[in-house]
Amino acid sequence: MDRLTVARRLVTASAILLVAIVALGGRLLAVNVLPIDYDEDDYLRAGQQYAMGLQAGDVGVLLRENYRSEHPPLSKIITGVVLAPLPPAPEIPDRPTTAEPAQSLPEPLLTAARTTQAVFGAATAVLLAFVSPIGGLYLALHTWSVKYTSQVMLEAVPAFFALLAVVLASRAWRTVLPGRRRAWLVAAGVAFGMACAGKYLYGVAGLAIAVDWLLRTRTTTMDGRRSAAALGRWALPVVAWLALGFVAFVAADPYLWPDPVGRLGASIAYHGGYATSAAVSDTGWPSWQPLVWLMGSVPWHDPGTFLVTADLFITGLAVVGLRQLWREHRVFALWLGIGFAFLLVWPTKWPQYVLVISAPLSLAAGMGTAIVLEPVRRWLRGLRRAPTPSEIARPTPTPRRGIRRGARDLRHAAPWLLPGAIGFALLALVPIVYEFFMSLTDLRIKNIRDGLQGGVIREAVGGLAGQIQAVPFDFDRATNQVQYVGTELLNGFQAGLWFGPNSTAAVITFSILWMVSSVALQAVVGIAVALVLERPGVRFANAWRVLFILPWAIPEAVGAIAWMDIAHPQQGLFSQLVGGDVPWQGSPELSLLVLLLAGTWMGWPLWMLVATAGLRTIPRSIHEAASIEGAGRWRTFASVTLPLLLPLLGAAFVVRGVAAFNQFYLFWILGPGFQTQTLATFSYSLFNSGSGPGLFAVSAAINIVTLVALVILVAWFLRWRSRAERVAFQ
Amino acid sequence: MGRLTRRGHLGRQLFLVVVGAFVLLPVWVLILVATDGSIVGYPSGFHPFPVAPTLDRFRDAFFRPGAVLDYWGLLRNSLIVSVSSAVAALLLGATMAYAFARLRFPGKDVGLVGILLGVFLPPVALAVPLFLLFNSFERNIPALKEWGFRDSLLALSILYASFGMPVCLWLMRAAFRAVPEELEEAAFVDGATRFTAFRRVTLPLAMPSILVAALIAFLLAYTEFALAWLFISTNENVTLAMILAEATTGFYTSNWSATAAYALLMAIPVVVVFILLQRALLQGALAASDAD
Repeated sequence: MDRLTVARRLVTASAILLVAIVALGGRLLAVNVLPIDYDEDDYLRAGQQYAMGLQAGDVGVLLRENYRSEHPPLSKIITGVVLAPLPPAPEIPDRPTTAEPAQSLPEPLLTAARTTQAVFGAATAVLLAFVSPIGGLYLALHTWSVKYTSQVMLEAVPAFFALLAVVLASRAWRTVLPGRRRAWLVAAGVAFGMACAGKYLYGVAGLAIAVDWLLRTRTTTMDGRRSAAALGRWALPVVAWLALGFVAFVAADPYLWPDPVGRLGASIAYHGGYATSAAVSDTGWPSWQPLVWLMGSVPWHDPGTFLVTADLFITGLAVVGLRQLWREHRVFALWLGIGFAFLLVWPTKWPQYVLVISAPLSLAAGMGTAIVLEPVRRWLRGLRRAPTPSEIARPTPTPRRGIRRGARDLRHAAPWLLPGAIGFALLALVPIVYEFFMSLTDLRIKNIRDGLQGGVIREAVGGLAGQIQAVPFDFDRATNQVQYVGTELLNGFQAGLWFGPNSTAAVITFSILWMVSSVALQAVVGIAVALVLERPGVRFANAWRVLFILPWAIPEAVGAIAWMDIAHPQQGLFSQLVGGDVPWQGSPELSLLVLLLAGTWMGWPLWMLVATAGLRTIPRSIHEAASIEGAGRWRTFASVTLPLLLPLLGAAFVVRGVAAFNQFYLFWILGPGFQTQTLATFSYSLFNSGSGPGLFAVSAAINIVTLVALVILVAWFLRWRSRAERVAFQ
Repeated sequence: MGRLTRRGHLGRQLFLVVVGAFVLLPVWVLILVATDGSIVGYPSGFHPFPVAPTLDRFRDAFFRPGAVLDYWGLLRNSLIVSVSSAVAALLLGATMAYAFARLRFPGKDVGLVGILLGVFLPPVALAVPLFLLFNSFERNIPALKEWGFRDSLLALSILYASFGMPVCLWLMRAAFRAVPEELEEAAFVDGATRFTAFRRVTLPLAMPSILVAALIAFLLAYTEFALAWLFISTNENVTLAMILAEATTGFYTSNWSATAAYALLMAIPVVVVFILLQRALLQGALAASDAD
């Protein structure tokens, strides 16, 4: 080993050690600080039953008991083993699963059980750190993971075994020796079974391994033939592996042994009934609720419960890193995809379910971090690197020359830029800076007079300069003076505040969901119609165009009124067609559908115009050349027309996306519930002192968060698009 | 591409009829509400045809008895504001867009995203800071206050232009980039300056997209009302959209039928403007095919 390898290993080892310290430290803190949650009494009781049996020397308790038998017992058994040496406490009462959290639970049982979970949770983060130290660090800090692996829940044990299974399987594919590979795969199968024996849901990791396996061996065993024998050779090992996992699952679930079929059936059947029960449907959470959980940190607990609350950034980085994850760790990407799809489809949306995918999510965030930091890394390497001989012969331009050239470029460009730039600076930047100042204060209806007379600027500038101490934000403070509150509001929105029936992360999530889905739908309709009309020889093309522009000519508020007439829950066209009330406002999914219908109607004419203008800019000769070369109509569109349209469509996507993100009148008039509010309507409802609380500062904070989110989205889109354009024009 | 067959024609027209129905459904609802004399307040049910047909609502919406300005007066104000802000947004945006599309200068990428900052938030959200800004103009320059700057159509035009400019800039930048650079280089060889090349070559070729950008800026100013009510207090300076806001703010109490009639009247000028612009759109395309 040379010195470089040693140094690299040392750095990796210390990074893993750091992850271990952070993960365990953060979880032990949470173990002591977190209040007692729903279900903790149930699972502690389950462990207590095993502990009492084991204390009495009665191993048969493992076959007899499984309190809350809808979940397999492995995690409860582990709790029981840990509790067995402790002094016994009176048995925790049996209460219905919908009961409020218990008032108190016996110590030291609670802390011991929680600590066990925390150890497994920390071990999961450390295991991930072996794959990627940054990813491990994210899992160590991810607040949802910290919370549910520091309470007496069932998540920590299966999450650990699921990750173990995937890591072992990845290890197997890196080995070339067939015997070794088989051994690793068997180990992975056992871990997969253990994960299922902790909680069924974590089996998705095993599914990911199976799919990945099928993808790996498709080309080698199938080699083009589609015979039954080839199919069998291809699928049989995977089926055998899944069967091995099932055997391991049954082995780790002693409760099944006396009556395997009956008990397993009852346990699984429970979940179908539960998912459609009132306890689940009363939450009113939309199908995309798992995304809402991931878009913010845990919103319920006091500050200081978690070391860092940055789940939003982890999710954002994960989105950036998705492609890299698919390239480098396909099995993790499959795990993330399958798990997330399941969470979206399954009606039960409890927040702890996101732990099923928090490991691959953290890994994707690790990949995303590398991508985001790439320019910084390149710059650092450039600083460290010794110049190559050719560079010494022909010295690189010094920074001074670079600056001088930049200044010359700027001088050239200045006449083109100045007229617009001055207007922009005054009319866009000044208000935004003022918004930012507002978000640092506690401006409300009560102190609006002082605020408008210079109070906002006085407090914000004073606070930023360090002369005024920040005070905590308080809805009910009595003074008429504006006060500096620092970044409390901004940080609160980033972390997700609990607000009404959901966290503010719901608003951010829906804004993004709305932006993407509505703009995509508009674009598809608009481009399709533009293409149809642009074909030479279409009759009445101009008349159709004038008709199609109508929705755009009608102001958004009026269009929304027309759609409200159609979609009115009691008197609209829809309810007359159905012959009864259509209470779509109560259902987030139906609300989204109605909003999409109206939003597409309003937005698509612009796409038609943009696409038409773009098509007109493309010289007709290019199309003729394509058709002479024998390209079909679809081929011509996909490989000639679309790439040439891309720059214009990209710009339209940004412009329309921003407009959709801020769509206001449509939501205001159609009036859907909290689950389907955008940042714009949410901000307005806080701002409007007539109907809302007049929290100008909170509204300003939302606006600033919106700005930051959009800047990041647009910058990311630009990067993605400039790559796409380069490909298109090469 | 070859000529369409009979079946191709039929299929296309069928598709267009379906899209047309989707487009017309809400418009038809508006017409129904506007022409149904039986509707008082919020329409109580959907009828495929008006129960008590009447055009009174259109007459009232047009002559606006008892108000300072009738439809023509409001339309005049709206057109002044919308056209001037669209022209300003185009003029300010076009040169900047060209710089972003063709020239090289430091901070280009940052600037391109930064320029969008102004439209990242709905105008309503920036209302208070903008109001304070315009008030401070008036405080510092007494002549503006005497003239009533904040309360004028000029102030509105400036505001709307600032919201329209970034949108125009983005669309025009994309349009300029789509024009092959070789065409401009050919102009340079012939001894043209950059500005001449821009004016004579790039601008005409990108005309269709520029017109779309102009239309966007125009509509933005034509339909906005939340900001306008904050700035305008003189009755003579009220625009079409502002009257619409008055009708829609009291949701269940206002006269829906009159609102719908008014909204339809408000949409007519835009359709006219579009028909006028469409001809120019086609001419732009002709210029493009000449240049090949």
